[in-house]
Amino acid sequence: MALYLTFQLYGPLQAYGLVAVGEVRLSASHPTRSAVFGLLGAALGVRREEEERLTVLADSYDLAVRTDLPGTPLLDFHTVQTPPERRNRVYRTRSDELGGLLGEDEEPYTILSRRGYLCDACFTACLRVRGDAPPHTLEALAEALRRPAFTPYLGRKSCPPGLPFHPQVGEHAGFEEALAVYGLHRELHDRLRRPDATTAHLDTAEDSGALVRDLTAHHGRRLFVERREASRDIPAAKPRGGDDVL
Amino acid sequence: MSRFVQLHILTSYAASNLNRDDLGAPKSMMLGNAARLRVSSQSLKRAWRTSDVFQAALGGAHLGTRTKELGRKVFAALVNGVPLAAAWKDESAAGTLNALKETKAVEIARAVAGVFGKLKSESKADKDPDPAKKRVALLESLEIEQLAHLSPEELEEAARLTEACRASGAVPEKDALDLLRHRVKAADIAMFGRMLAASARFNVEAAVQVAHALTVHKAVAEDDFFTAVDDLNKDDQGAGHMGVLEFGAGVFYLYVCVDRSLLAENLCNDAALAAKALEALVRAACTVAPSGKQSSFASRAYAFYALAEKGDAQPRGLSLAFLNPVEEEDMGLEAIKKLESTRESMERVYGQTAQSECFNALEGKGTLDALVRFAAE
Repeated sequence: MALYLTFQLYGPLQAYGLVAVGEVRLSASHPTRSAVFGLLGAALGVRREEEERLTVLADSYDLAVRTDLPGTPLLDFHTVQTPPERRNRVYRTRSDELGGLLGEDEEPYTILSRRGYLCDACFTACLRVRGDAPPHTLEALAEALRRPAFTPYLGRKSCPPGLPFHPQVGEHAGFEEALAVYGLHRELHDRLRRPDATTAHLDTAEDSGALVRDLTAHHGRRLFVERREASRDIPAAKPRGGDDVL
Repeated sequence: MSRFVQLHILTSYAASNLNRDDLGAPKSMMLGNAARLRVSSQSLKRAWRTSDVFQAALGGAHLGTRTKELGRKVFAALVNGVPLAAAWKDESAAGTLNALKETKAVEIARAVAGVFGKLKSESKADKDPDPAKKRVALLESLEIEQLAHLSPEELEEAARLTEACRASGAVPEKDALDLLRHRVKAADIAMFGRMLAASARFNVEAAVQVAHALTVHKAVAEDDFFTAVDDLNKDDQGAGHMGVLEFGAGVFYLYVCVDRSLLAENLCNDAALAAKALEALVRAACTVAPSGKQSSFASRAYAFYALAEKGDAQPRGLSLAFLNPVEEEDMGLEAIKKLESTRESMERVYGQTAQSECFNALEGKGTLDALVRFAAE
């Protein structure tokens, strides 16, 4: 038996960055490891430049993610205006960038990008302490999710959660049991496509899992390395509201 | 002070195309297995930042000076031996401070003014035999190409730097120049953040989170087939031009979350300015529409309902209220009812509470002013 922290990730839009080269920034089909620990870091008040704390945080817990509602992918067409880079010129405000610091012969560039989102998806994340010296107890993580230090978002800043994370800490025999007792908001449960089974994505040490590139090697430089992720069929979430379902 | 201020805003846009995709159609998304129209977060933010509402609310005491002439003034202050403030009023004023040589003063003036804008090219009038003409050409060469906007703080810093240069007789280093605008209290960047790949130290974490706005009901883009007639064409009955313009209409739900602590931090803990920024944000979010296709549709609209919440508990949007698309005829009132009941049941289930305030223009309850005060205090 071990302690598990379980919480839900629901929002009208979510976005979990994959390998992004150039202008297409797709979303993964479920929350990446870096997204979940980034969210926890933000809730705890860890800043982007605190490399050490972020690394320790991500290295100290095993993660499983249950897909409750896979959502519909969306590719958003996005334009951004940026000023030309010039040596010895620093743009300090948006109006500097769009005109103030530009010469009469200079125009801001327009950059096009396509950004992937998931519409109307819902996931349940589950954490277990790895090793014996976690930086925060699971209860402390739960409290941080209830009263976060920074504004939480689901992968991209424009993706606010549409339900409270509703973190629960409990003792269970394994990830499957911890996930099984964590219910799904009733209105979302009504929309399950497969009411019997769904998929869980788990950290694994075995070579057989899928290769995913979402293990953060350096936060500031956005460097990621590959890890293995196992997928397992598990029972779908029960509707929340019963006696035994959180 | 509660950390988060959340806004839930309902606005009804008539036929409009506020935010287009690459094919020119209004942006869309799926929610609750139903197609919705969408206005992206970045489109809304740009409209607010460039709006008159922002200018009016954040201009005021913060109003600076718009000028091309900073370089000329610094030059005059240095060669005439007067403080920058005196040269600001009168370029020919003479004083008793240490006067620098013209060549050095030109270098310093160009360095200082260059922080605020691209300067005109250096004077080529040196060879002009007429000293008066030569002087005019020199002064003009110290001007910034376009009008630069200097805040009162920036002017103070520029005056301080001018005196430092007078004392040292040296052209200011990069660090000193950076300091010139280090304290720029650009409220829009404090709110909406900035990410620069080139110079990460100027990055600012946005204190305001803006979600994509989406319709509370099922909505798809419609085609408007149009023709334009050639006024001078008398021989041919046909149209001079044919085209299709896509548009949509709907009641949009918009969610905004402000991290007040981060906003204050981004504004160097200037509480008064942080409150002003919040006021400007609430006003803009309730009254400013994106500018897309406004000439064709005039689809500007004010929010008919807005709810503000303050608290420390985890912020969350209330889009769940519209997971089942609103289908009732009285769409506005129905959307309000669903939003409020979802909020209540969510608070009951998850045990969160927050202070709140709202206005409802459909029933004439509450005011925008009261909402603004509630959010900012």
